[in-house]
Amino acid sequence: MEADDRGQNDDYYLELSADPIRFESVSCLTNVFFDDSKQQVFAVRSGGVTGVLVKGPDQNLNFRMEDRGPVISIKFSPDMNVLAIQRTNSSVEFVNYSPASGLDHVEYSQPCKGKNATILGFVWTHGTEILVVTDHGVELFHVNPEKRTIRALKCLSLGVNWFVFCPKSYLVLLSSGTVGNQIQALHITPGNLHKLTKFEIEHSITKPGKLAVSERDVALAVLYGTPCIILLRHQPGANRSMGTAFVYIYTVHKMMTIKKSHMLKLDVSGRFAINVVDNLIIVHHQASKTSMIFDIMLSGVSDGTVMHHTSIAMAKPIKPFNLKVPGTTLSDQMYQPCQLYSPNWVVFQPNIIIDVKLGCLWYIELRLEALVKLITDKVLLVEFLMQRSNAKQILIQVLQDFMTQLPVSLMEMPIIFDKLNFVYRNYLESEIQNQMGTPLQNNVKNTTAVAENFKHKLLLDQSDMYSHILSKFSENTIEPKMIIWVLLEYIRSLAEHGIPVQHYLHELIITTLVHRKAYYQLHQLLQYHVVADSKPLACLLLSLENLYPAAHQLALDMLKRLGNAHEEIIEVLLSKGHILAALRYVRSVGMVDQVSARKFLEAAKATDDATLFHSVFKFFEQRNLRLHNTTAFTRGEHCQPYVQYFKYLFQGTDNECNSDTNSNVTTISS
Amino acid sequence: MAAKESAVETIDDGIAEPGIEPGASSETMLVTTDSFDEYEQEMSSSIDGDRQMKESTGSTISEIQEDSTQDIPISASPQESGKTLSLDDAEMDDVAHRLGQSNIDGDPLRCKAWLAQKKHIFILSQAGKPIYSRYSSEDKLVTVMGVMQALVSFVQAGSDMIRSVHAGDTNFVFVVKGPLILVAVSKTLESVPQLTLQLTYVYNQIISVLTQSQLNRVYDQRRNFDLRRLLTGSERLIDHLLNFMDREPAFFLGAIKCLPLLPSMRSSITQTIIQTCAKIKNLVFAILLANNQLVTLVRMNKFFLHPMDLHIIQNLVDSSESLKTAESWTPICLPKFDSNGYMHGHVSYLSEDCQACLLLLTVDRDVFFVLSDAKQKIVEKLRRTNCLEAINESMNKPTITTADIGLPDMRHVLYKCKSTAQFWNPGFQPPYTTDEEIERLLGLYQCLHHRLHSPSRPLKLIFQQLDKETMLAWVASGFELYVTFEPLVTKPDAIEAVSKLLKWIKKEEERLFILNSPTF
Repeated sequence: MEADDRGQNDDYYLELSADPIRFESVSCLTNVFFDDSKQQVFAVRSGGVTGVLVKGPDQNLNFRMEDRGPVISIKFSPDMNVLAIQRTNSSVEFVNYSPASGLDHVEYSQPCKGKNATILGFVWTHGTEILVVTDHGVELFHVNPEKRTIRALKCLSLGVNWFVFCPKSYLVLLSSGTVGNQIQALHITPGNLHKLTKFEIEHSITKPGKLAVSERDVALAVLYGTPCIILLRHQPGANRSMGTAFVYIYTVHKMMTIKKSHMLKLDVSGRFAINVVDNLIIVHHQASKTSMIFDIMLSGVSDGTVMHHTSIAMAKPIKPFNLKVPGTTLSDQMYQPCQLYSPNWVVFQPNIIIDVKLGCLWYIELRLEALVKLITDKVLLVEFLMQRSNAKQILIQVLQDFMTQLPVSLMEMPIIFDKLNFVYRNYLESEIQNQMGTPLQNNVKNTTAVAENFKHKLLLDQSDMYSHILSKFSENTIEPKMIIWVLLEYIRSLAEHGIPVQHYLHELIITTLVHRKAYYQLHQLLQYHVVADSKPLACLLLSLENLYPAAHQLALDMLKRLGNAHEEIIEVLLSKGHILAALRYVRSVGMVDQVSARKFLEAAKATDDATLFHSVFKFFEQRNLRLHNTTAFTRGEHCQPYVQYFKYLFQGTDNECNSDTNSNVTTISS
Repeated sequence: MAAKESAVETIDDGIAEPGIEPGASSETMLVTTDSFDEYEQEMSSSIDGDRQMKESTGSTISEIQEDSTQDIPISASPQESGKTLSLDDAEMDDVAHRLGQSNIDGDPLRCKAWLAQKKHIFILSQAGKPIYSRYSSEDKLVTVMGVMQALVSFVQAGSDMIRSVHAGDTNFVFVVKGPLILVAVSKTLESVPQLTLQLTYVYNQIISVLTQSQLNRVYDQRRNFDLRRLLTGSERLIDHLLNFMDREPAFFLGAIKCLPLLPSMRSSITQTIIQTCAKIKNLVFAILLANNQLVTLVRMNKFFLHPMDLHIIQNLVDSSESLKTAESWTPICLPKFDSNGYMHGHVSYLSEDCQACLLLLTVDRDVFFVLSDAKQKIVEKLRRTNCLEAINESMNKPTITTADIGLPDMRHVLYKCKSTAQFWNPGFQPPYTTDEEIERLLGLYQCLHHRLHSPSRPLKLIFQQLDKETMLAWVASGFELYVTFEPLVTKPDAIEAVSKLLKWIKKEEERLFILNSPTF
């Protein structure tokens, strides 16, 4: 049973939040209102006399108010100081509120300006500013709770069928025109209204009295930082069952222009509802009781202007939800399964589902672990995960899984690494921009625009890759060859994106190669400068000499390239008994007069090669001659033992030579 | 460490002013050839044996012996000399040595010490009969020699000539001359031309004992003749020659070293010999050697001595201890002079107190007593003029080293004057104090020599940084120079040292070289 359950669970990639906000369900006495700006549920009992219960994600208020007629709409101001209540079609009343003293008893109101205008609704915008939408236009007011006065700020006349407001982007969408196919978007800034370009929605023949676009088919959301208009379009086919629906995404550019940019293909028809979770568009389909997920950032098929997207994974139902209900006794609790996709559901943006009958407010949530299993395309999966918030762990887990699937996944690795490093590169660039201080004005725009695109991308840098994936290969399951290939591929990708490769990656690849005894490959990597030079690396190479003799020369070459490792080079040469080479090196870097004669003489003595010792001894004698005008060593150099040794080696013959003073011999004086 | 090498021709100007060619002389008593001319000739002659035979029919000796045309008895002289020499201590040692070698293991091919020898020399007849082996008794090597013969005849069957086989660091060099096959198996750095030259020397050593005509005649009569019968006692000469070539640069340089003497002293010695011997008929060469160095050489007008022949003579003198005790009368064939006839040599050391060896070479067989008298007169005269003392002094004095000359960076040098076929080298100084080091150094010189004279790509100048020394080799129009420097010498220092050295040799040339060519 358990296993079965889990197996089933794994299939659901959407779930309802575990702890729904509960409220009194709608009845003849109780009216329930929802404010999607502050995400508060208002349960108004008997017009407020018996109490108003306000439940939000972080509030739970309870107050009473006078019953002055049926409430049409009720909303708190953003700072919770003013409660706005609409009871008639022509006016909105305001009551001050404070958590300490509760609701003020004085109401002040504001009728809409236009005669005969009907208020369609109102939204709190910035501070205590309120936007009232009537069928004749919109009006922006400023409410002063202290003075209990209202001041009109702006108004705009327009025939309005319905409106939609997005509290995130402060965009208001107004449906106008007789058939309701014209859409006017307004951007609300503090104390002002900005008109965006009006656009029209092509409409098929509609029945009279029915609008081309209905309010419930439109959602406003912010996807990847860009305000978007999500529009559901039904396209009736030849017969009803054949019809399919599409979702159009209009993106708003710089709060100026609106462009249709994406199209989501639903392939089914019927009633739909739209949510937005983590920049994903979720389309619930009531008839099939399934939901689909779309990501407009993933590449789709372009028709020149519009990107066509298909669902990321196959449509799946929301995970079944069991509601905790009181049982027969107080202590007893029962779990009652909820009806999903019920007709009682009301969906609010961005991710709210309310069942008015049950009195529950859920947030719809993604179950990435389940979704991961449904996306088979590895590159797509990585790209998808990179665009999710808080998916780092899962992404790492996914990459780890890929590694265990080697060599099957080797084909995709380069592309995946490139995707990761593309983001990494941009992240580094913006870091540098930040450190460089404020660049020129026009630059700011460019970089912020670029940065915007990457703000939503997950960053997996070298240290993440190293500590979670590259260094975690298990020897038993993966062929070492694969490890090297993956490492090389990652380094290649880094290099291709111009990212300096950190030493620990180099170290890792070298130790892996060494472990595999793939010395020749190591040699090639070094020769072609795939691995950057460094002293620690040179030392590592030196230590490998026993296993791979050529490593010695590689190390020396590397030290030479580093340019600041004279001492090390000399020591290495001496330790190998290459004393003459060491002296030549000393001479080439102009250190002849500084080096310790003793060190070289000792090394030469240790080789037990008389000829070599002779050469070294003579070299330092010549140095002495140059520095002190005598071949003798100074006392400070402590070379007496070597002088003795020299005498011991060449005494007899040396004396002979010295005693050879013949009158016939004429010498050239040097 | 990789050897650094550069061949820069422009250094020519930097080293010495043009015109300085120390030791150069228009007069020479030696035939000046490059040792590599020898090699070239070897190569062409060995392919076309008949042609060489024809060329050598014109006998130089018969030219000198106007009155005598009779043949020299085949076996008398060499056997005679063989008998006198067979009592020699050196030979006894040598025999004992060779017996010891073969005693280590019955089969030399299984003896590690034998296999490890650096340079083997084998001589066999065209029929494959063993004649000589350097390190073991040739009797034991019948099969190996058979293989060698097979290799040679197999290639010969295709009208071609096997010259060398290279296997790893071992070179197998073949020289086919007349009825003999000479093979060198060497692990040394010597090049094929150098080894060929050495084999030619060995062949010439055999000719100097037997003459070319006798050798040919013997094999014409019996193809499978055992030449050892005729060579008995001469193995010692070959052994000595091979060792001699391993430590003397004279052979590969194709030059002679002179005993340093004051020019006045030398000319006094020369005059003494000329005056004493002028009247003796048919005396072709008078040669005075001290410590293997030439003191003087007086020649019959229009005849010259080839350095190769002089080396054979030097080898004979140096290898025969018996000559020190008594005057001897030795038939000797000088292969370059006339390979078909014997010269007769009166060989004697000047006196107990002066170990210089005087050779009087004539074509007459019966003038021993005439020459013996002449020798006595020469010695008396030399003693009177203090020449013996001068020779002794020069012989006993340690050779001058480059340190003495005041060239601290220079360890050793070989200087060959091309026009007179003479060379000079200083004494060995530390670190070249052991035999191994000296042999190693000569090996390096041989390498340089080979590279300068490489037939395919000759070089004019080599500056090479080696493991333990830096070497310079330079061929100018008048001389060849091979210099060993301290390994850490810089190029400018080396150039300066070479130029100092040349100035010094120029200053000393009259003492170091024989610049005239006296005749009777």
